[in-house]
Amino acid sequence: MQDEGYQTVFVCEDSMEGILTGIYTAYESRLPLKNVELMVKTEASPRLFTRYTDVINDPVKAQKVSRTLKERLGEEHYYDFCMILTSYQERKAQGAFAVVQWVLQNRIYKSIFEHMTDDDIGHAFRCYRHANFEMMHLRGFLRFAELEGGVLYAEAEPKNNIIVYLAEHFADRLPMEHFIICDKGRDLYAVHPAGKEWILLKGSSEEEKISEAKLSDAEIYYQELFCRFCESLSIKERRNLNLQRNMLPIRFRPYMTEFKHHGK
Amino acid sequence: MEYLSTGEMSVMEKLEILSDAAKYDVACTSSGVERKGNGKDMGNCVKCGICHSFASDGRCISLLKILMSNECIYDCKYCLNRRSNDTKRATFTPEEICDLTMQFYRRNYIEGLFLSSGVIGNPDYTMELLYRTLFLLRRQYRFNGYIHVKAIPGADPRLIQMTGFLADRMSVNLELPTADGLRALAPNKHRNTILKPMRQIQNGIAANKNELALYHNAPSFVSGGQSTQMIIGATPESDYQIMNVAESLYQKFDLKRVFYSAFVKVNEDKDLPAIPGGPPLLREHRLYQADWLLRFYGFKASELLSEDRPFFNVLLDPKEDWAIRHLEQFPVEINRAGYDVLLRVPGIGVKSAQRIVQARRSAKLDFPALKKIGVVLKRALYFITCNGKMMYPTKLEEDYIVRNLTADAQEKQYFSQDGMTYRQLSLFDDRTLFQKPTGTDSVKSILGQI
Repeated sequence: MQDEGYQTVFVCEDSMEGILTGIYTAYESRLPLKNVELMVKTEASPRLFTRYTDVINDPVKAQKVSRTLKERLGEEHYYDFCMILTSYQERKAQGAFAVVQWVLQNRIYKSIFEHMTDDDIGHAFRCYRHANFEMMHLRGFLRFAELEGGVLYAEAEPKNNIIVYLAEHFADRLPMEHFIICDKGRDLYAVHPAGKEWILLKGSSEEEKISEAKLSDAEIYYQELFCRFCESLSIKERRNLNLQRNMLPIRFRPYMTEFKHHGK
Repeated sequence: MEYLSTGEMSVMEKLEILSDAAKYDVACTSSGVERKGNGKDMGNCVKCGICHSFASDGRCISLLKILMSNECIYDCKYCLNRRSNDTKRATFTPEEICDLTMQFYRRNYIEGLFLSSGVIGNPDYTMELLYRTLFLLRRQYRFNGYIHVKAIPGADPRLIQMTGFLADRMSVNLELPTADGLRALAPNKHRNTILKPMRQIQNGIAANKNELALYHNAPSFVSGGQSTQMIIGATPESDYQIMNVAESLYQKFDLKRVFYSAFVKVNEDKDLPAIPGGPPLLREHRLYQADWLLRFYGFKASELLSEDRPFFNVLLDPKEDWAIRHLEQFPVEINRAGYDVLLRVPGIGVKSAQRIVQARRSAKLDFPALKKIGVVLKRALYFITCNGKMMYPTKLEEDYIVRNLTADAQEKQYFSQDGMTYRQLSLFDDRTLFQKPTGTDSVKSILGQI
């Protein structure tokens, strides 16, 4: 039997499948929901009066949760929900769990974060917003460079695990291009062959090959053109570097063509 | 067809000259159109627009903003490319523009093309060049991204119509807010020739909406809407006049955006004002703030300004300014007030107003919750109550609120300090203590010598 007042923490893997399995397991345990918490592995540090249970990934359970959510939420809200799971912040699993509880019990009007005054849901919202903003930033700030042979290659180091969203966006935008987007921090590669579905790869063998690859001849020319363009476009009388830094944080710049060369 | 020859100039040089010449055009957004890729051709469009970079003046670089040519037959006094200026002239060929656009786009440098032009020969010829470029880009290079093109006033309506079917957004520059200003600074341009294509595009968009409702595959005409821009500070118009012009443009011409461009003095001319403090950036900022109030907050120009007060407050933003003149409508109870009332509270924007309306369905809101929602309490606290209480004891009094809104964080005077300019004398008034006590001072005070 479960002791009264004991908190049960389900520790799941830091992945979409892991957290969704965790949510399923939490419901399956039939414990009162207020005594259940969800955590991802990296943030689990022992507390008193708490039982820790490891959750083992189960694609079937994860599938069930995701199907239910898709049905209940609809495409758009489900997209928002998945965005929470990409976050790098702590307590995101608990936040996502709170959101699930809320949306299963209440009618949603406009957004899944309506009950924002709740701590966990509020936190889930901040996770979502941070990830979404970063995705929207990188949609613009990602820079492709053409390698010899015509493959486009882009690097980024996002805080949140949003490479999937980026790949989806660029696959729609550049359907007839071979391109690779690399998440340097996580060692993930989204590879898109022209005219086909893109795939996500993890691993280091790819990296070696890419770092050996040279830029194509045209690439250097166009990079130079773009740098000149950026320079001549700015109005001297309105110079405002603070505003520039607000809009384009410095952490994005190491991977951007126009800042790499000129160090503006 | 023969293009005016530009000699041996390289694309690099041309790009530098023609992007430099286009930089004073402010309408550089890529928003308003949602278009998925078609699976074959390069490009899609995102409703909210995408900024790809930011120049050192802090403005976004979203489109490849260039002029087709900086040759011009006109002699507008404020313009860098006027006929009487001795600047380097260049003209792109349509193929060069298409190549640049495609290559920049696939490297994700830009979101699309912004094409404007000086007037070469006559308006018709220039418009035809723009049309040819767009046609080539859309039909031969199969570009599916965003295109913003200028309509040249005075060009044949059929040319403008045809160009509109290839572009996502069109704009006609109003140049200066009033006809008088235009007469003084742009002697070759007339108000009517500017408004005519604007009306034509507006009618085209309206007609196209009906067509699209009937036939789904009808070609879309300027689906991102129409915009315009005007120069601020080159002519003596008041803010009130400018806001009225903008309002009537929104109402009568269905414009998506009106852009305001602080006047930058690039030419020396006796008719141009001297601007010793640089471009009037604060004024531009206030106009944009007011513009947002018109479009998203349900304000009218006549509420913000009037004949007697024709200029915006330098210290307060237009919404604060309005609020302190209408204190009888405040404070507003957050848990009850309607959406339109919430929108009028300084510190609450469209997003936070929406979130408040959503969140109060499930819980009573208090001040910490408002903070989470994103309300700027620093500004809002004088105008709102939560469950009947204000955040701090404050006075609903014009002087007091203005002083606190404009004060820096440290100088802020709270209620207990009596919000007037005088303060009660105090023996332990540490505000006047600038010098720290030295070592000997402390020894003396211990020994009872002080």
